[in-house]
Amino acid sequence: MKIISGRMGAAALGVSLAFGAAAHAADIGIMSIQAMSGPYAFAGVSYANGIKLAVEQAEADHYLGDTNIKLQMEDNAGDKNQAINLANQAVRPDGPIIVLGPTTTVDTLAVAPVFNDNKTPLLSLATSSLSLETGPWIFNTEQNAGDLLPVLTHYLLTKTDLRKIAIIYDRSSDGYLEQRDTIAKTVKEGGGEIVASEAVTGTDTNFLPLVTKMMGVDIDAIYLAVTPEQGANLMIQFRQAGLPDKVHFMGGITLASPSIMEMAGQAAEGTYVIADYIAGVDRPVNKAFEEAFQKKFNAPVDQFAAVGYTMGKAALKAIKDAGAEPTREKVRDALLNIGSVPSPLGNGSWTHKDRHPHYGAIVTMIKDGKLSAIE
Amino acid sequence: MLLQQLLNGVVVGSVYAIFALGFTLLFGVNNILNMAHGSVFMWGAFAGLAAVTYFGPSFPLAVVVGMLAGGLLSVLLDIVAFRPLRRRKGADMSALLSSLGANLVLLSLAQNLSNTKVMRYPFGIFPIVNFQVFGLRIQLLQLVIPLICIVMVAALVFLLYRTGLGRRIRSVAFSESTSRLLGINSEWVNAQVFFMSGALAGLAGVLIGIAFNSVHYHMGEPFLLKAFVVIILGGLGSIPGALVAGVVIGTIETLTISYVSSAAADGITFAVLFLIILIRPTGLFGKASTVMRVQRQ
Repeated sequence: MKIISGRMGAAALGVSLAFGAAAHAADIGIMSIQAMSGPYAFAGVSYANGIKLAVEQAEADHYLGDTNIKLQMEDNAGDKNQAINLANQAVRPDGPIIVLGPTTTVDTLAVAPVFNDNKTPLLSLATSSLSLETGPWIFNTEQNAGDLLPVLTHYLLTKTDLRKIAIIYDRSSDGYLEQRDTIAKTVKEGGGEIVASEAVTGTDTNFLPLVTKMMGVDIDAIYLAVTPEQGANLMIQFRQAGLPDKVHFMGGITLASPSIMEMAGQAAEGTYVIADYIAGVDRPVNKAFEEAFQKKFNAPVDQFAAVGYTMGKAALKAIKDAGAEPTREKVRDALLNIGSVPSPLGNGSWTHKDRHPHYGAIVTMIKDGKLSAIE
Repeated sequence: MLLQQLLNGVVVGSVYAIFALGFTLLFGVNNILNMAHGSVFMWGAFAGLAAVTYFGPSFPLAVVVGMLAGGLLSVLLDIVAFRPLRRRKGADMSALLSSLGANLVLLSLAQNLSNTKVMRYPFGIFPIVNFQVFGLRIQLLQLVIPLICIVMVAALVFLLYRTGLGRRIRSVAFSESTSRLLGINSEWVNAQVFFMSGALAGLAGVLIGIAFNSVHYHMGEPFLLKAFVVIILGGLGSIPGALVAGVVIGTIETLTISYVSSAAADGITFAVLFLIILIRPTGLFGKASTVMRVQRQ
């Protein structure tokens, strides 16, 4: 466990010790549960960094007045049992006022009942609407496959000649299964054809058998519902096996990651990606976020960091809107009526309807090693 | 497609075999199921990658550095995690638990070092050369990997059964205390066995990293599970058994992905394992290879 509290440090600790309970009365707890280790750490670490940045900026700007924000960063290593243990700690009466995470949909579905039953608001990262069915204390931060993929398939089926689509999906994640089902449904409804559907697991690296099998199928495009690293690896192994350039790869938001371009190199060129964030958009909120992130972490910004940052901002706004003495119930009510939150995502404004987020999407293509918006 | 998939199966099976050779060697001599073997494999791949990143892309350099790093790390593991237990005559289970702990430490270090990122060997480290033979598309690396595997098995068998070091290893495997009475420095022999085991893991790590374009701190875990299957199927401690079982597992897995379903590959692989163990509880080479086995009595 790591607790970060801006403006605290040794001086604040001294004040806290001197004034005892009075100083603690102004503390507000936020807990982040992320997969900061394990196979999903590629996303969890970025989400956590985005949240950290949002909280530190709020502290620096005295966003909540004299109130100290105690950000508690927890690592569940992408393990739902650990996530449940952390959730049980979080819902104690003296626990945080709001919880952000966990990283994966699987973990979210496991912890959502704990938070809902104990009336603790959870701003989740689930990319499945199933999480919302748990109850009114659960909010989603990220748009799901049903929001994003129809935009991509509509573009491809109306603006390109791609019709025969194969799908490769990670069967160990509900989010990727939802991508598989959505892409299959929207392609069929749009007049396309699903010619193959093959599963991998999150730790697979040897795709030769799969590649050989799919090379024997007449394909226009291959949809990859996998992590960016696996996506890059699949692209390389397909191209090395002789997949012609006329066959395009396509993917959801998980492929809108700089690591795809970095790892796959030339093999990724021409990939269609539906993105909720691309770097370098000429918008004040994006510029400020990217500069601050790179300055603090000395690492390239990705969409996970942008989502984490947005999630942190939304949580902070809800706490502020909840008034001088916020409670979990007041924060939940404030979240329900949050309006819009400036965000580097999509169209620049995060909002939600019935706890389901909306912020738009961008159809992009990987050209010359970077994502370029095409619609 | 069948021939192409058989070739794929032999290639991946060869890597399973190289990985499992070190695992089974250690079990045969020291009776240790080294749960940190996957981490040694991963650190071998990391070291090879670091070398080529620093000195430029070179396949032989990656292999040599990966093997050296794996070997040295394995010796260090012996000194820190296993030797103290041997001296105190700890139960076999204590070595297993010690290796689990060492594995977590190595994983954690690698995670911090790599910042959880998936890395890859640079393009061009191994020439992408394709041959078309009877409709088969064969990459040069697909020929080199099985060849390396065969050379490694032959070298290991030669070393164990045709050299003085091999005699000392077999003597220590038979009885460490008797070997000491005969004047054999058993700790030095153990260190050499750990080095060989780690070097084989490091070699497998480099080959996998190059062949499958992926080097990350978690890469050893799935291979460790496969290595269990391979050494049980091949017969615990059997070197030729590891080779045959590695290729059998690789081929079954590949054909399952191709002709049944990719989602069923692991299930069918383990079902075959259960079936073979039901028929031959000692594995495919459990009895036939008694002479070849290096096993502690």
